[in-house]
Amino acid sequence: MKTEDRFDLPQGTLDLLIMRVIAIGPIHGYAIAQRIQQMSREALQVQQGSLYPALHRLEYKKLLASNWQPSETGREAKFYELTAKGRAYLKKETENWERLTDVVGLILKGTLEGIS
Amino acid sequence: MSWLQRLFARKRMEIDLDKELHFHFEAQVADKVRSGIPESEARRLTRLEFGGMEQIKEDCRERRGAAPVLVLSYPAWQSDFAGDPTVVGSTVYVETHPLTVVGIMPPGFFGDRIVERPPDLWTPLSNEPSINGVGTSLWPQGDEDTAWLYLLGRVRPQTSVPALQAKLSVILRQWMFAHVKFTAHGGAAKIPRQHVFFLPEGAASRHCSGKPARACEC
Repeated sequence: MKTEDRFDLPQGTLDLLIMRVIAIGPIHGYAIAQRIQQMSREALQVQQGSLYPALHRLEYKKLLASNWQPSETGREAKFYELTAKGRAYLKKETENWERLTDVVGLILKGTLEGIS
Repeated sequence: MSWLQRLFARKRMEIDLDKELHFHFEAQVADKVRSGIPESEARRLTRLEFGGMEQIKEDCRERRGAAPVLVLSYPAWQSDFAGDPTVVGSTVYVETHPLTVVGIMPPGFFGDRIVERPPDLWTPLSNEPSINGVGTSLWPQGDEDTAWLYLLGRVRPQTSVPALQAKLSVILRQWMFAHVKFTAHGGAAKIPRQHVFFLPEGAASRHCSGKPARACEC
């Protein structure tokens, strides 16, 4: 992938993406990074230096819970899942995001009567 | 939580953090190996992609709201805290910044050199900018040549100290030759006489009258 295909995520968006991936089911950090890359069709690559501080912050805010389980390779990994608080937060933030993109889209694509 | 529980909780968190990042590292290496990259190369690439493992850990600790830590010197523990063992795990303020005491150094440890007023405490280098603010030495503004950090290390038991001294002396001289402040005003002629000396911990001042060991001319 060429560098120019990548872009910086707006502030706070990474949290939303991480939580969306975790909402599918308990998952460890490495798989979260891979899932985001696949789901974005390779457009997003989450660096470890952004991923882990975000996971630890979300866990500290009790939006995520974690436990150690054997991974697909048999080695123990730290699996994250959403807490009830995390689910509510994800729902609210997803709605906010949709409203925001709708509004920004209206302005970027639209014309107003009286403005040519 | 008591200080002991806090200390154990912190230790547990450190072990988990290390284990978690290593799991990611190994999984990334394994994926590269599966795609046909030889293991040594896969490890090298993964290390590059990871960047500083310690920096990631420090960012994680910060996001968990963990207060930065410090270790007290034995004399400071005796004089400022009357030797109270419950100080471990408590918060002390260093220039208004809260730091958690995680330990006390043994008596007789004074850091890299014996100076008249030895340090009262040690804290990880990464805390320096938050304590010193804009005056930070870690990210100097303008003066790229700033050299202020003294290193203290352990050598492996089989290491030949004279050979290591010779090797580091060469590196020191190369570094000095590359900087005008050492070569100017006839300084270049003196550089070949510069040596690095390895001395037992705290013994540097006796040998070099307080100058850092690496820059002493003997």
